[in-house]
Amino acid sequence: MDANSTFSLRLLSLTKDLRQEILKRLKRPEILCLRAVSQSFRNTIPLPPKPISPHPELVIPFCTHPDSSTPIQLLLTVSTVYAIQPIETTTNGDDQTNTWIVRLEELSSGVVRVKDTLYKFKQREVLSELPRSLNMLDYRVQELSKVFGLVPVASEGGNRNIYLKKVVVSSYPDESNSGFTLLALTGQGIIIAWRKGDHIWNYIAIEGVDETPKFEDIVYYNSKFYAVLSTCRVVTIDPLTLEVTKLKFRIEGYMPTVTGSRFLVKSSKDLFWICKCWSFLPAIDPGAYGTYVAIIKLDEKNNQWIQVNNELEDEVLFIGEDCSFSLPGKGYTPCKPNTVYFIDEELAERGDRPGTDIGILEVDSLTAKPIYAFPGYSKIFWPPPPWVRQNESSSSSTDHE
Amino acid sequence: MAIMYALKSSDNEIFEVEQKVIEQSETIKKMIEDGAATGEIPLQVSSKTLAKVLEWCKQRQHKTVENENDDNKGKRKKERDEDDDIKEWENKFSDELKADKDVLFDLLLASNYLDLPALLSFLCQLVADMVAGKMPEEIRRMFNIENDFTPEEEKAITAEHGWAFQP
Repeated sequence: MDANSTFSLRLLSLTKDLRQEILKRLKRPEILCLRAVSQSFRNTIPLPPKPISPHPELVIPFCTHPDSSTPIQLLLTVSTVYAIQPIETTTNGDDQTNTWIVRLEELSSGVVRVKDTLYKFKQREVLSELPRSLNMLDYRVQELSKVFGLVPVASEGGNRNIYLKKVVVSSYPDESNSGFTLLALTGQGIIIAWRKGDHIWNYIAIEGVDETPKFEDIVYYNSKFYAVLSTCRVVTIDPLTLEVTKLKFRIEGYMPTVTGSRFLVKSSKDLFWICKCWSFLPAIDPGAYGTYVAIIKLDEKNNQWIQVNNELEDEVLFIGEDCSFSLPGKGYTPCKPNTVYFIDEELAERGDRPGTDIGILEVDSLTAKPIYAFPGYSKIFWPPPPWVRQNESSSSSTDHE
Repeated sequence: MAIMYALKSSDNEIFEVEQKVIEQSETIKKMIEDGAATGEIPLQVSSKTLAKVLEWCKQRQHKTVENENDDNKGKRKKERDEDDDIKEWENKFSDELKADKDVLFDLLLASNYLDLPALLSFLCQLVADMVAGKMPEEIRRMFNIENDFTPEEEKAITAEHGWAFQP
């Protein structure tokens, strides 16, 4: 027996706690791959829970006032954004597409629903272009992000619907999880928080600010919630105490306040804060007018933000209506490194397929254009690449090696 | 004069270490506080592994002391340079461990036994990164293990990995 196989056996012999320390650093598709290695791997590594939507056990009472008599019962929905790539990169004629970014919702019935990748409410007639099924072992499947939402329990009736812009959680609620905090951003820019076991939801307020703060985006990053306000402030919210802390920032360039919109997005290494607005663009031409974007990076060590503008280190950031995620650098075709893909009200009406109705910001030049200005770039979202459709026949067998 | 402690490995080698360096280990810190650390501190860790543990602790200690002595001026640039230095040091440390997996595994157990959370987290990430993004066959090749599934088990695995799209 050589050193490598001994090492793998010793890893499997670790105590449950230590094994969990390693496994919690891996995403579900990676754990599934580990379980498919050999019998001893499969017997030792527990099956990660399927992200069934809505969450089968969790029912969340929705009320923000203790006297409220009949709270609405809410269920937590979850969808997952995946980057799917072929196992072997082969040059396949003219089409160089090697990545398919797709957002899937796994329903309790066992079937999987394809959602629009970046827009929350868009329903697409896309089914005819989909294969009937896919086997994750036929591809390299990377989990990019989990996207959460809240829906009323069906029996409550449709008239008690509530509109929540975005929902983020401190962790995916499974049985091993004792603590779990959920933050929801309402359509009015209010953040409400619910911790497992809470009877009522808590409003997030900022000390020293009289009027209700208007929040624009929320994200969970490095064990804390971050929220950006319309006044260009960012605060952190502790998931256990819900304590709010203001963050300093040092920004040298122009910062659009009041107008425009602000987003928070995690890259593989950092947290970014993106400000976007229509503005005069004096840097391009004195009379120019267009989408102005400021890119600001969190300097966690010094607890402050720094404007970076043209250094995303090849990362690609995606900003959706109810989600944001990133791809690390090069190797994902057709995806432009050092760019930000974003939703845009102006473009939202245009496309009839996922990914055709968004904008791309080239970070080098800080100029934003609609995705159709880059022919072929929407192919990363739709249609499913030929190697997905061709492979369908093999998805029912296991001869993937 | 720094206070020194003598650590004794399981194979009876003595390591003389500054208190500040070794107090990063919660286990040893507690032994010192409880007054149980008179003379040599016996540890259930081999000399080879203990040397690696101390290499890690000294690097971390070095970093903290330098930051304390800095004034704010020029701190940011210096920190950036230091970050690069630390990253370089960590990469070298990881490469050595990946080349000698026995040491990597023993160090993982030692970091848990000595209660060194930063080292434990670093090593768990290192192991996770070794398998992340790899297909089952690639993991088999890396660890030199056989696919020993029966056809029935293969079927069950396929079922776990399947997505049936909404008709």
